[in-house]
Amino acid sequence: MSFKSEFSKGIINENPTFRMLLGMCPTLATSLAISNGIGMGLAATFVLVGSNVIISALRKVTPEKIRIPIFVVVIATFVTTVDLIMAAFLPGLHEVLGIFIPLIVVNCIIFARAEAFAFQHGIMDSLADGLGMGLGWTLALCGLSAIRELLGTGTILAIPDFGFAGIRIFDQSLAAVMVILPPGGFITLGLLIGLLNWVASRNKKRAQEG
Amino acid sequence: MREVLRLGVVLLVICAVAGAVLAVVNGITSDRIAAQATIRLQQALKDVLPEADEFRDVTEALSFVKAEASSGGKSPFAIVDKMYAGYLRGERRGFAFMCFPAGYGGVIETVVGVSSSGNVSGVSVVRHSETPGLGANITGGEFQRRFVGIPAGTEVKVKKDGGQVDAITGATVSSRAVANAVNEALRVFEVVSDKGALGNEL
Repeated sequence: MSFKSEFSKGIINENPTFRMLLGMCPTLATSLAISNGIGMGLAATFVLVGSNVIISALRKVTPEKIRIPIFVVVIATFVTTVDLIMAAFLPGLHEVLGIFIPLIVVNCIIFARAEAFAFQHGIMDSLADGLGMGLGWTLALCGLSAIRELLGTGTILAIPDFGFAGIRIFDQSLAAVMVILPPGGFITLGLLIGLLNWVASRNKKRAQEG
Repeated sequence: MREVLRLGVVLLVICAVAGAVLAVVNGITSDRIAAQATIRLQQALKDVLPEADEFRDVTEALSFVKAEASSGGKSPFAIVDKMYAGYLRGERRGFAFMCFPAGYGGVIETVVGVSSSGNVSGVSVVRHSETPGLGANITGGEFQRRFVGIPAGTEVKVKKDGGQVDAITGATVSSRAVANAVNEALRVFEVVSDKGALGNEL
């Protein structure tokens, strides 16, 4: 597999949210506004790339039997380091993304890629995998957020941290608050996964017939 | 036995390296993080009490108020943690209170300003861990302005609890926490301004 294909598989074919159903908790919790999706997605991508590279580099010295505790230590150290450095040197960004950092520690996409990919592959491939999976997750979050933000609040692209209330598409009284609450998250995610599966299987059938 | 020992040593080495990395990073960043926190606090104090341009920590007076309240059998003001007096050219313009009400995802560090006239002059959330997109909206100016102007002596509550402040949709717990902070700040303000002697000392 080349760098390019390791990168691109995470975006569609092996998309962590829609195809592998990884990281459902943070997906449901943060897909409330597009600005959240971008913030959470980019912060997780950064951590994912870093932890993939470190775990790949350490794979030769990591004994199989204790790989899980070692992954936990590496990921937690990396996340804490990122958190502290961001708080000290980029306080503005930390204020916006800081809330997502504790959620990244418990994000199983990072752990799953360490176990399923980085532990068996080289550093460059792991870097590509981290970038692709992170970007795929960011896109999935943004797509889900766009639907939930629009239907749930009637506005789109609101960025409360910058005091931007968003572009109002329709009146608040027509918005279905349920969509931004947890049940709406499950329903939206389920419908979206179903839709993508349907499109994928239809494409497959066409390819076979064609 | 040798295998167990080998695994133990590998894990020990990795943990030691991780610990060393964290110690170094903490050493480099802790001073800067503390400095950022001070800047943020000063900014928050100015935001909630815009009339003043100089703030003094008068938390000592607050401990006095708290001790008196608990010895008098009243509620001991558990949410207000620090008190600052705001001055403009040496004249006191009001107080700002650092409050720690319990929200949905933990404590919400809230600063509440009360001007000398006895009205809420501003509310600012310094740090919180509420749900992004729902409770996190308490950081929005639009929500915080709903408290401005509430006079001392009023019981501050969200509308759902029979009060006067509209809660954020889907985030009643977070909104209620901020309302509790404002409520207690106003009550401490009342005690402080009632005590003429104490007020002059500050």
